Amino acid sequence: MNLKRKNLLTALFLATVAVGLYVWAIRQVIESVGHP
Amino acid sequence: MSVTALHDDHHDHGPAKGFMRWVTTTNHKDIGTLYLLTSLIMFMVGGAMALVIRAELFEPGMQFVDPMFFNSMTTLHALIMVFGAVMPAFAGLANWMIPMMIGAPDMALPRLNNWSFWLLPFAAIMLVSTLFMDGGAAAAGWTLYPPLVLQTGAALPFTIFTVHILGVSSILAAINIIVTILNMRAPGMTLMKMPLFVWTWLITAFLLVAIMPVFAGAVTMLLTDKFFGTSFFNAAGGGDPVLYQHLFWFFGHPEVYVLILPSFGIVSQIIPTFSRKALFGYSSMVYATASIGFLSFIVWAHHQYTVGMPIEGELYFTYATMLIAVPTGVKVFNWLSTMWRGSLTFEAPMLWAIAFVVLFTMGGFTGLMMSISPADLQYHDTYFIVAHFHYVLVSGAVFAIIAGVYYWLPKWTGRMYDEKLAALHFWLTVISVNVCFFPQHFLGLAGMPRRIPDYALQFAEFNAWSSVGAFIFGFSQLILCYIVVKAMKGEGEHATDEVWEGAHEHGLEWQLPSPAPYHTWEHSPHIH
Repeated sequence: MNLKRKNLLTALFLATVAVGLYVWAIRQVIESVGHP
Repeated sequence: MSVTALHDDHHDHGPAKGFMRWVTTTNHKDIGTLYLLTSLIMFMVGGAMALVIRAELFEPGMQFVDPMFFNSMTTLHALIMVFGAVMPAFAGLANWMIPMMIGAPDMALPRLNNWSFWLLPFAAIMLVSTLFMDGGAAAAGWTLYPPLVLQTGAALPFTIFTVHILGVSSILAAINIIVTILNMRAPGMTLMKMPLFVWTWLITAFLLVAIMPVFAGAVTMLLTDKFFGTSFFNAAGGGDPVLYQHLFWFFGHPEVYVLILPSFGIVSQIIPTFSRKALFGYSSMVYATASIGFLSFIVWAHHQYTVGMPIEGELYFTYATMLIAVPTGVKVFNWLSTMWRGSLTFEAPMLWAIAFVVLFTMGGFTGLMMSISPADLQYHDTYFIVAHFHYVLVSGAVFAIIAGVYYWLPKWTGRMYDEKLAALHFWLTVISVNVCFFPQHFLGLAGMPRRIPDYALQFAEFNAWSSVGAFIFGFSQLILCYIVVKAMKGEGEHATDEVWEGAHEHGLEWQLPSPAPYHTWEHSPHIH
């Protein structure tokens, strides 16, 4: 795999983790209080 | 890896001319400089706010500002220093040094790098502009706890938007750093050969990717509670304000390590150079840093001992927090062992690094005191806490940044600073910082709460000392500004390529010319 593609894929993976954690944090609160 | 092919389009030209060079630059050194200069300006802004606080607290009674504005000052001082000054300073050092240290021609994602930086000044301007909005700036402290923060006027959505933008900027910078370190190292530069500064930043960047989205999620819910009728943190609507505290500190505690791990890295670069020895216990330093990173995620509720949690919870968080002293102790002993029987000299970077080791360890010890949950009931929300975190963040993180600036300034600018002036800067700072923050321990133990503009007469003397120290500390930093500007203007003695005696054994950056050329390592260096 060329370096440019490898860099992009690594960055996309990390960005997905970040977005996932954002959603996870909000879901945690919704599950705890039972509503938004 | 074809390193030269990456930069074919950059060959044979230097930096662009004029203002647009800085707007459109994708060069890691330019972006590093932008980060560092922004950080310096924000240090001045945040520092001015600290002096407003200390002027008001110089003597009992209300002197200069009304209580609401005083609370806005404590809130903005903290937000600006954490997100606008210390973090950008580390990002600037990372941008400048990481590619040079691992033998890479630039950061992995240079355009993203430009965007990460340019989000920052706009966020900072918006945050400061909230001071002029109806109802004043946010005044609930940097933690932005509900329900208090929801009483903020027109400034609330702008403050939350600022946090979002700063968060995006940090996450993008962190992603860029991780990708650069994992994918762009020169052949032969294995992970366990990387300089400690690069290692500490790699772990810090993972922390940032993990925590900033959680903080963004928490403040998004503040926004919907205020404007969209939700009740996430509103007890009257069936929500729970303590949940916000859990989310905030799940972010907030690792954030403290975001501010200190790169400091460990800088000090681990400087002490071996001026001891003329290799770093003692390199691999234990790496594992200790990783352990601190891991532990930082499982101790957050030690900030919340007074909210009322089960005794088992208090015990768990007490013991888990105490555990952090172990890897931190490994680091301190390794620094001391590196200096042991070394051929020590005390140029400015070494002075700051030694001051860091001594004063950060003192801040660490008071942290250990606070980890004990029953004892913390006495310290909670007092000036003891203020003293503790200023010891770790000012004489810790800020001292490490200053040490790093003195250490690498000759490499950046090609000019040596004036050693006598730097020594004056050091001694004025190190004395005044202790005059400022040491008495705050006694104030806190005697019961003076934090975030108050007025206090009982019994606290007058220590507060006066603290204010005098703060003003001397603040104005002493003008010496640093003078030294940096002088070097940037190309005044002073020429620096050699090696800069410090024997430095070429302590990192790839010392094998480059001084000042470092605009493009470096277009051909990968050979790593033994």
